[in-house]
Amino acid sequence: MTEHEGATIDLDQVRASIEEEVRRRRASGEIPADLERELDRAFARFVPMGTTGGDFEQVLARAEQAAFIDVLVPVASARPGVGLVKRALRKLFTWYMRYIAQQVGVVANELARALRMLGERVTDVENATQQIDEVLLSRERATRPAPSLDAWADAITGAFAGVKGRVVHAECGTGPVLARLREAGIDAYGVEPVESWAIEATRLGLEVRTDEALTHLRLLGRGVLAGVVLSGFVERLSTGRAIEVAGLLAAKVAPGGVIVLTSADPSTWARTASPAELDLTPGRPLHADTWRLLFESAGLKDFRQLSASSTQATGYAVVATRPE
Amino acid sequence: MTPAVIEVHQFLPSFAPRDAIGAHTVEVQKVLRSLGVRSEIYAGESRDVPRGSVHPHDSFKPRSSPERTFILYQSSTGSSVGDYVLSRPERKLVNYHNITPASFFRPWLPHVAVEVEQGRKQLTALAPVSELGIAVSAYNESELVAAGFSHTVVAPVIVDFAAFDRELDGKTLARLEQEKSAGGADWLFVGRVAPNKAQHDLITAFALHRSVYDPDARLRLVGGHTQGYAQAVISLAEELGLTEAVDFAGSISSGALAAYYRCADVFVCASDHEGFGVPLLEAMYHRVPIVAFAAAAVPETLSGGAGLLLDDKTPAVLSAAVHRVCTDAELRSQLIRAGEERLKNYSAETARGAYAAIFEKLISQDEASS
Repeated sequence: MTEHEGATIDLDQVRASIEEEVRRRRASGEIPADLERELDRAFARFVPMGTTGGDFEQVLARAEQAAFIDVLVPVASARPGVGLVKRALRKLFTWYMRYIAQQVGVVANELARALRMLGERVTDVENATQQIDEVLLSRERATRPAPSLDAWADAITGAFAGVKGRVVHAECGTGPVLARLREAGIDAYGVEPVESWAIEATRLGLEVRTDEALTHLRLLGRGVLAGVVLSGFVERLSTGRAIEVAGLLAAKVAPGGVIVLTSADPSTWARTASPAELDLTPGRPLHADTWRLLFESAGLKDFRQLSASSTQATGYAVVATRPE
Repeated sequence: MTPAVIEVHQFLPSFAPRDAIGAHTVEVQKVLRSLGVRSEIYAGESRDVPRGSVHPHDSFKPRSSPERTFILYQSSTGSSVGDYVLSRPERKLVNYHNITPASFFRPWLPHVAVEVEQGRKQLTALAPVSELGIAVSAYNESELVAAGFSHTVVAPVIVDFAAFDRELDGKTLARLEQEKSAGGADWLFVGRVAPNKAQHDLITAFALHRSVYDPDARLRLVGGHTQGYAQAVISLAEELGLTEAVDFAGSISSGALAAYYRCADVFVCASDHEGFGVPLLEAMYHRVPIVAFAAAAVPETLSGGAGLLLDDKTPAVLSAAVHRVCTDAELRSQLIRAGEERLKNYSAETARGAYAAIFEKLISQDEASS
């Protein structure tokens, strides 16, 4: 971003200083985390279903409301006399409009009713297949110690060297990696569905939102993140959800952004996961090469594996970037 | 031997004089006519135009042979006009204003997504049969090359900035000034309320700005409404308790727009996709400092420090940047100066000259070979 001749203020410094100001205000609570979270979610209530995983019932209710056709056409006009002409035309044609509107309204209502029935049947199918209540799994996870990513913390922090902008760690547990990222000067925050872990991280001065990782990623705007660390939930995804995650990363991370994913190895996962997790989880950890395939299909590049700082490390960590 | 060109007619899907492409098309027509070339405008649909100034596209009857006639297609979306142009035997040029990727519209308006996808296909089909692709930005030129155009050139969109001064709407200016006297900064964004313009990101950043920095600030959103998305953005403003603070001005006259620019403290752009961004130039013309998300062609339009570009448009960062620009007088004046400097590349005279040079070259090549 070259500036014109005569510029005395370096805009790169201005940007850095703005980021620093935001960090400071977040840390002091002047920018409340609750407000940011509320703003993250606010627009999702109004977007069409499928954009961010909206509520089917809500969309259906809106469709039913929209099925009502108002035959009383607005007649106001800024031009003198035109309002009167419109009013006369409305009076003349209301009987005709009402006749048409009644028929169109019946069709729209019947379609909405059919959709509602279809929705109920889809819900039955979902319940009968592997839709698992994430809350149930979170409750089960909360009974165990938070996962430690100590062996990967150096490698993860190193992957974000020089990254400017917000980095999210989803799921961050009690925040050990998050703390390391913050120490390295990275503007990182966390998302953790287990409330007790999120509260513990917040007590340590970290910014952590209690939310499902996937839900949080869906709600973010396009290109708003400079980087993402993924751990935990990526070991429990069904194939469809894993493909969705790769697509979300390509959409939500800005060009040049960095993505790091850590996961248990599929061959050892059965030994480390709890029985409930093994029984209830819709998916299982993927091999690193499978993530490579998913990431590259989504348009990410520079895929490579990271080395752990300890021989005790389990699983793997991979890194990819979104092309400029 | 190809005979010299004597007619260059412009085609576009729809024509509206307030629209940037509509105004550009009229300016290009003036340039062509000043060169002694016969030139008319044809559109699939037109509104608010004097009778006879824009013709239905299927009424096209050139006087000269196809070898002596060029069709200049103003490409910005898909339409039956594109297919019509493709079916014509005349020689072809494309003036590319960018086609918004379908992914922005698919969740909101699936039929518009289909329309813009059709536009991309038409652009690819036009590539091998067009003698030149004229892009309004280097960003757009790269898309023309990717679509298969072998000869391309960049020439900016022609904007008659002086019209703002001629047509200033005094009543609107008085109303805005009165509101301004209550205190608080005026944020402005100009552009259709559409998914790729991401006005919802402006609303959330504005909500945080009022909460943290400036409780009296106002956000003014000028531009026509895209069905569905606009309603969602209005509902978002209501949900966040901003009904009184956000002004959805709709599509307004250039005189009223001039008043909005005059009263703005900062122009804020959170667009995810802009093929050029004419309102950015309008803000520079009105000496309004710009804060913008660095997406698509925006960094190119604002190069040379003509705006504060951000890689991150989360509410906290965007609102902090706006606050900085509103309160740091030195930064503010530097951005305004850089904008004025940048605008020199886009003055109406410069742009007209660029188009005149392109057409003169085409004509002289023809004369030399005839």
